[in-house]
Amino acid sequence: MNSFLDCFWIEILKARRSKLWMLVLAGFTILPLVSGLFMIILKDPEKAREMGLISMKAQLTAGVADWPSMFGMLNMGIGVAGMILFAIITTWVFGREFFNHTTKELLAVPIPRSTILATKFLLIFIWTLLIAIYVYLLGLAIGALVDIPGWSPGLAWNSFKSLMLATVLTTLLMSWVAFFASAGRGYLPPLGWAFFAMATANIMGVLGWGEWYPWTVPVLLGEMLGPNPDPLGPGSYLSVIIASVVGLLATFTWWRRADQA
Amino acid sequence: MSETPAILTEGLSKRYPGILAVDSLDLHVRHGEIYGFLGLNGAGKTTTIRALLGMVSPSAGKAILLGEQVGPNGRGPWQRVGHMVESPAAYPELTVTENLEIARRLQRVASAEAVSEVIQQMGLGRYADRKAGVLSSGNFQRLALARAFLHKPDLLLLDEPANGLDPAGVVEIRELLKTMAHEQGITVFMSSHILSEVDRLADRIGVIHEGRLIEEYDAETLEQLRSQVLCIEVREMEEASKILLSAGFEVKIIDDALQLSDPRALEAPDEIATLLVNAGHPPLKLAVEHEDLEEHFLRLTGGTA
Repeated sequence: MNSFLDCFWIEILKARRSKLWMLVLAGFTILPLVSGLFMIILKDPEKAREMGLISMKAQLTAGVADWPSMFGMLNMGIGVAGMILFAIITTWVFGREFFNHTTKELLAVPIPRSTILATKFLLIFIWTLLIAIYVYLLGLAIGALVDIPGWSPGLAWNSFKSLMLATVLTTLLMSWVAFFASAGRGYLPPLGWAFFAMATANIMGVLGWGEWYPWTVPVLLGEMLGPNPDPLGPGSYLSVIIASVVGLLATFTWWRRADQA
Repeated sequence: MSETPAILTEGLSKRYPGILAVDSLDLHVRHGEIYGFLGLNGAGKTTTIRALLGMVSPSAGKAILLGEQVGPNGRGPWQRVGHMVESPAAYPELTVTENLEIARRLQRVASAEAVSEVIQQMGLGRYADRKAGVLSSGNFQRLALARAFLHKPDLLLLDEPANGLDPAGVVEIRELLKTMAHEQGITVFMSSHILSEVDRLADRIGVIHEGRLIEEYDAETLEQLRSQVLCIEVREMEEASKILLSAGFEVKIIDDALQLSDPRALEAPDEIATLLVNAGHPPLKLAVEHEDLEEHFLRLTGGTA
């Protein structure tokens, strides 16, 4: 038996039996639905007013109803909502071991702790990628239903790549959430961290330092690019990678050295 | 049987900010014996077990299990060690079988049959497909023990193994542990606050208090060490007490009985009886009684007995 595969099997079993994946999926379903709603409104604001979808006083400055705007909203949504919903996934994957007092069952076993941690991170990575694919496909279906203009296969492919990139970048930052779930031994510290990270991401974005602040980068990717190819500089990506590695090292070191009492 | 002890600690200490939880502990547990580890709450029992399992790193000293030094980074002979630390734990949304399947994979047990075998061994057959979160506390405890036994370890570290079990379950686990130790040569290190349980089960007993091992006995020595008292019940307690005091005996009145621990009284209870009868206070009951382990333990640890 391969210990890595066994640990991964265990993580998948725990995830399958939880209700969390349904809740997260429901949470992310809102993103393309809301994007579609905006497309309906932007497509014909007067009709939307008549239908009561928006107030008569609403001033719509969000843009136009087309595929580039639709993809842009999905990308930005993944960057913003992902910061919280991916953090909830990570919090559950790590924090539940402390909440259920099962951490001690993972420590004195003939499998390195690093293997157990690696499979937890792999699960989170695959989980978030699947969510991003789901959001994209649902966005495509809703966009087609609303019948918005501006479609092209090239745009769709570039948007897909941007969405996956935003997802990967957001997921990379989850190593900090994992650390706070481990060191904080539960659910509250990592969620507190996630909200703090999102708040600081907004502040740094407003101050104009967002390109170099790791937690702002995934949001900028959606905001600035939408469906277009990568315009962020390598420094932005590097900041995310460095932040991710620091979080990973902190998590692995904590599990190796800290008292699990 | 190997010459190396199953558990050996040398100067094992664990300090937390402001508290020395375990203080220079030297344990020496032989192969195939049941070692009872007694202590009040906060005495350092669980911290010791955690240190033995590498879950906390010692501030000083070392722990060697089955000839292999424990830690750092989780190093230890874990394929040969089963454990249950503090409260039992399991994934509540998973069934009994699924929880044990997880344990099987974590313990690197090749045979898939191991899960069903331990389910039968622990009497969990009826609950195999039931979620752990809805089990009674007794069955939850059985599940935790099944997890510890699953990979047929050579050494078991059990923290309060009889907690939550009904009387029949307590007897069952006691017999199982006895069989494991005395017939299969498995070493059992168990802490318990159920002192009578330790008394019945353990081959040797260590008493830990404020982090230090203050006494260590084999069961026979403990029996000898227990003090004896002469218990007398009479109708007129105060009057009888005065008569015995005037005869030079030290008397205590405890639980509606006179208690004498004077060796003279213990060696010749018939003289006491004669004394009381002649004074017109014949005993209703007169018996030499052993102090039980609980009282002995409380006296050692400074509690009230």
